[in-house]
Amino acid sequence: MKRILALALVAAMTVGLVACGSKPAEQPAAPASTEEPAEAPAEAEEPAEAPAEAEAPKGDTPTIAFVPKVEGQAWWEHVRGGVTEWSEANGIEVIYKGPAEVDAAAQVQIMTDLVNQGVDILCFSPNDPAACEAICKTALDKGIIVIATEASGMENITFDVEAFDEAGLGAFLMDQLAAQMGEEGEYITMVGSFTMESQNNWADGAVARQQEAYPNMTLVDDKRVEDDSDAQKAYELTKQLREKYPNLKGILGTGSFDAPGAARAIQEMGLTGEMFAISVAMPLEVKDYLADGTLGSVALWDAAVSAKVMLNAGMELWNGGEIKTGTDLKEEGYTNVTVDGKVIIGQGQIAITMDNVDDFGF
Amino acid sequence: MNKATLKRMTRRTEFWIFLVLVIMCIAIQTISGGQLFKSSTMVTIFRSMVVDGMFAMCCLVVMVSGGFDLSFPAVAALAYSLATTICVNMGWCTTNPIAGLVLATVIGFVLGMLNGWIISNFKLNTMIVTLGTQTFFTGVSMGLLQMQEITSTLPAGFRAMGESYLFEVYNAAGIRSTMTTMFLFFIALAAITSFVLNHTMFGRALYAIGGNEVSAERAGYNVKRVKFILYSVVGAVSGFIGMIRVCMERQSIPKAMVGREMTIIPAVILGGASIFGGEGSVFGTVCAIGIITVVSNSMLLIGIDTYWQSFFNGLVILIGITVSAVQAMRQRR
Repeated sequence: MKRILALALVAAMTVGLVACGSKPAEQPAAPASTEEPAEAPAEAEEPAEAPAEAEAPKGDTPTIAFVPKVEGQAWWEHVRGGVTEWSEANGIEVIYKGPAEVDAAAQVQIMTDLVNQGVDILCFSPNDPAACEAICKTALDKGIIVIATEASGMENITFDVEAFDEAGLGAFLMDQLAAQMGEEGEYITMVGSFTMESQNNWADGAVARQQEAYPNMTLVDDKRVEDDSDAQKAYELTKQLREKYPNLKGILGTGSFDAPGAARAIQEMGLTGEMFAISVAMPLEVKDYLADGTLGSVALWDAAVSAKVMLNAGMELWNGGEIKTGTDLKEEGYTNVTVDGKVIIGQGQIAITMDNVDDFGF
Repeated sequence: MNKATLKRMTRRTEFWIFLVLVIMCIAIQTISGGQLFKSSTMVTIFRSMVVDGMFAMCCLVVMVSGGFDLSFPAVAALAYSLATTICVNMGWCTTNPIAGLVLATVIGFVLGMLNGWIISNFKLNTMIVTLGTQTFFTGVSMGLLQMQEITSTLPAGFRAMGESYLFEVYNAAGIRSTMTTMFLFFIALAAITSFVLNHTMFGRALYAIGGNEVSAERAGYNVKRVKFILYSVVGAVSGFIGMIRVCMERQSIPKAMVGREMTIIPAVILGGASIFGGEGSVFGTVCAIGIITVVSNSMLLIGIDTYWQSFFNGLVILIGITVSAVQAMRQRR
């Protein structure tokens, strides 16, 4: 099938070259370079195409783009650092471009532009996975390798890279919160946004873990609260929640603004040691709260490492390899990945405490 | 109270906004079983009002003059990011935040001057100009200066000010809430704005320009100069407010203010400021900010999912604007 496709493409290109023959000299070069990917396997069978190949010597170097959820936030600046490192180590340029604010529509627009520009590998972390399906389908139809992260439910992707099993991270969060709460008392779940699929899955995983392992803990309301990824809102919500549920003892947060905001409220309310909060969080943002004991620990994975794994996965596929359970994606925590359908799962979750809060440089 | 006074009162938008605020508070108080008018809840609501309320004052004076300022969040963000970065690098503000506040105010003033210069010299539509400068300032912050988030390295002086409080209250369960000192800045700014609008030549000039720019010019107001001063001062105040926010939040996040104008401008309109200029008052604006803040702070208390918050915010704004429009229609008759 691949061969037929490749032959068909070569034929189409030859026609294209002939058709463009009468136009200025640069013209044929442009369409030729966009068809490079399909051309590579056909090369051996069609030596006649060699001259065209010579015009585009970068035949083995794909155009790669990485689209973060948002630019400017520390988390994504850290990812940008990882992408830059990868780019320098491999000598391959990566376009890093994301929306200026957490905005699903703006992100889809950027992805659309990149797909139209003709990238070969598209890596991204969706703000709203459902909103990205259409453009990802277009990308797949164009033969682009589409690698997502934090979007395990998406259909139109080549692979999704997860630093951890989503339910597993939820359980990881719950285990830590339960230990701080003495395995008893009321708690509630908080997410950055209801549309962030992964955060909601972690919260589900945490609740499932509590139900199976901590019978003395109670989910005070199965309705979740969202703080719009804003620490100020998380602070306000925590105070309201404690007002509404006077016995509330734990906030199981997920987004990186949940624990810092909740901790500020806990501290102000004078409840340090009586009320607890946890979420995924950036080490430096919670360092003060870890130091004074308002927070016991937070959870994290190194998103810069995940980003490198996404790029490694993309290159593996580009080079004709395949990814299955046991594949080594050459980063710590991903040397023996689990593949479930389209999801590549590593073992990348880590607990941040005072012992390692300074180890990350962010 | 005679009939004429009553009639005059009900014609004013402020009266209706105040009525909405009161009715809403009573409704929430009833539904939540007395959770709203508790000292701890009120203190939190006052705290939430500080930053939005102060920005609303800036919006109000601009709208009174018949203009729109979409750039104030970007001005504030660039001012506080740059000021905080400078303070961190120079090791300033370890005991008090004064240097940071002055820096942010000066930076805001310079950015505001740019707005004022373009608007007054080229007589362009203020919405278009500030939309442009908004994007430009964000670009300078993110692209040119590469502003980063500052969290745990925030100078101690900022934190100390953000944490300072006037008094503390305890609820029945002994939970502490503090009344932030920053609330005084809001009171002060509201008082100054009210004084300027009602008792100074500058305030009268703003209403006159907002009412009819050509007439104002003929009446002898120096429209160009008034506008330049207006936008410069609004820029300076925006920078100052941005820094207050950094102190309260204990973090400087370059992107944190993006899109804020879209919550605050409708609130100011809800408070009775006319989109055509020449109308608006501090009292109405404070009531409108009160409505928005109370709604967003009591959703959970009355058992409504946070998911519905935007819906209710939008609804409140729509109702408010409809009331304002009906008032305006009646006046014309």
